[in-house]
Amino acid sequence: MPFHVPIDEARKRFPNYTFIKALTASEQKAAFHVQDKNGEDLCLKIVNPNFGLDRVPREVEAMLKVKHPNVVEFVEYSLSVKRDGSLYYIIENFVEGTDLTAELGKPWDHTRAAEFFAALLDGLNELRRANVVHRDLKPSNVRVRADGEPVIIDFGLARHLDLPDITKTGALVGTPLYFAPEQFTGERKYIDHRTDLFAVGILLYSALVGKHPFDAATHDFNALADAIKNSEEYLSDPGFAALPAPWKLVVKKLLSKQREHRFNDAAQAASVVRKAGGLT
Amino acid sequence: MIRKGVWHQFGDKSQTVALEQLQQGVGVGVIISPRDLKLEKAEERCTQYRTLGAEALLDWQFYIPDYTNKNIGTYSLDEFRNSVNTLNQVSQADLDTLSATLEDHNRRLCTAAVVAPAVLYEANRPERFDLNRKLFEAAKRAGDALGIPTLATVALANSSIISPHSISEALSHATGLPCDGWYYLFEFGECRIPFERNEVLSCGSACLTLAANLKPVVHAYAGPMSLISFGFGATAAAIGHSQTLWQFDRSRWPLTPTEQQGGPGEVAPRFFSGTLWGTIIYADEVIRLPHSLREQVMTHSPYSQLIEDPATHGVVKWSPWEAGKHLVHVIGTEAAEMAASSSARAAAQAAIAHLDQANGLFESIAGVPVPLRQESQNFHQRAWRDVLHRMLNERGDDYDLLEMMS
Repeated sequence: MPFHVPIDEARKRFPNYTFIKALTASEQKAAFHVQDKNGEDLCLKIVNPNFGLDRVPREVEAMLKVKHPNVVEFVEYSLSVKRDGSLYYIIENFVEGTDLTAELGKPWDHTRAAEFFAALLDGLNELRRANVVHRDLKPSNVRVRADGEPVIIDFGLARHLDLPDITKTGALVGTPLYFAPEQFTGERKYIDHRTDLFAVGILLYSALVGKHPFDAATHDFNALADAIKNSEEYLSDPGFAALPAPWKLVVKKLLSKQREHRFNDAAQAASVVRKAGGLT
Repeated sequence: MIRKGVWHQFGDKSQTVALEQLQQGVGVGVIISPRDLKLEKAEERCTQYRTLGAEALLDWQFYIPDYTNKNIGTYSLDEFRNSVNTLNQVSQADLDTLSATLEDHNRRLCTAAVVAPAVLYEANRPERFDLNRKLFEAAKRAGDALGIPTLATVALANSSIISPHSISEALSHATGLPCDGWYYLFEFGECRIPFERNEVLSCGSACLTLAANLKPVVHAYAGPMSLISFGFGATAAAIGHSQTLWQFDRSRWPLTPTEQQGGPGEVAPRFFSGTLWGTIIYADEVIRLPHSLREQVMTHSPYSQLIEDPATHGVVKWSPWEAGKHLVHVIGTEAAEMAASSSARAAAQAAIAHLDQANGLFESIAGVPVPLRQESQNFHQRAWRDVLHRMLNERGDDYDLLEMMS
């Protein structure tokens, strides 16, 4: 259930900002496109006090470590205290554009796919350098800027590998549709930067083929888990089979069930994507 | 960043052998063994090697971490040479000291990369993952400070290859480290030259898995297997004159010190034949071959001249040390040709062709017949060929990827 804060209520709470519109809310946060006094576009997120307050400092920690054009820029994290209660909020740069959800559904031009996914992987590589795993990479967490560049947003479930995890063992966090096989174990020791690479594999497949690689199983959690952990049926999809060999190699590698068969890091994956798309 | 080709793996008395080979253009680098060479001597030697265009790596040999001797004692690492259980308790302050030591010693030896210390990956010992990560991170800080790559060490113990799950867990851990490549070694069961198909396949598959992560792999302790290392995707393969360097052998680090043996002694020397890709006893077996087969078997090297004249067969005494140098020369020269292949697939195909030829020659010898002793027969040649074939069939995507990115 998304955390809903009416926009008028938010306006009253944060009078120093001009509220442009409400953005898609998550369970953890209500989000708004706002402008500050200088007219700068920002994203203001109000944290659900009943969900994930303990996560917010981690999210901020993760974002503070990363500065990259393909990763959203953090501006402020603060506590707003008023007579009617206190609220934590986060302010990030607003990424003008759409989210990736709007762009998936039909096959992309391969050059465009190479440019977009190489940039996305460049952003992920910066996360890896900061020892941060996003853990919830999905279309709605990838903004597409007006110039077509991707920007990774929403570090609400990010795990900082240098810090003890706050997720209980056995708890599944993230969006199952974009889970890597190891996320279904609920064991945090199996989660690392290659977990995000699997999600990129699903996104890349969706962009190249026009549908989710495990789409036949997406209606049911157990079927989905089984497909992600065991199935390679996507290989026989005509759309996939028709891809040029280098693209098939990249997708298969990213969607490897075992982490050691993915890439050592996102930088390697980005270089292969560029090669597959004829950019190098 | 790691030079492609054959490297000299140091063991006892290797430094002069390596120097001679480098002078003859065999090898592109040396791997220093603290067990066998004092730090001061290593510094001196490394300067010589560098003038010959060779690079150096320093293998910390934490495989049996509580082993120590006088040579290792010169490397300021004695305080870290503890049992795995003690090492598991290593503090951050200790790791900082380790990092500083690694930085200092690698700087002194002007190494091409920092090889991270690591204990063996054993089956059902998950705590070793954590320890190896800590040791790697200390090494990485040293590598970053020196501005050189850091190689994660992947030492697969024989126990870890019992099940695909164990080997997968170890590789999953090792490939998750933020390294610039891998220093890879594999422990086989007891045999002189590995020939058990499943073990050779595990060794090759693990190497290819590392290589398909698109970073360099140094196949340490490859020995004669260096013929096929490049077909496994390795960037470098390390060879040595002594049989204890032909595969990772933990008995080189005995916890109860044994007297160092002075060499191969008075046993009949074995002639390493490049065409057979194996050894044959000189002169007992060689001399019994018909002339035409003998000509094919006797691969030339600067160390074999003395025994190449048919008139001297069985008359001239060939020193086992010369036999060892001959072996390094022949393996180093031929493996370098494999390394020069355009891709891992091409290297695998070239190695298969070489092994097919060797097996054909063995068939000819069997037809003579000259009974060869068991150690002179073609067990490993047949096994290696089959393994390479299987890998080319089953790991096509990895070979394609390496080809695409080469």
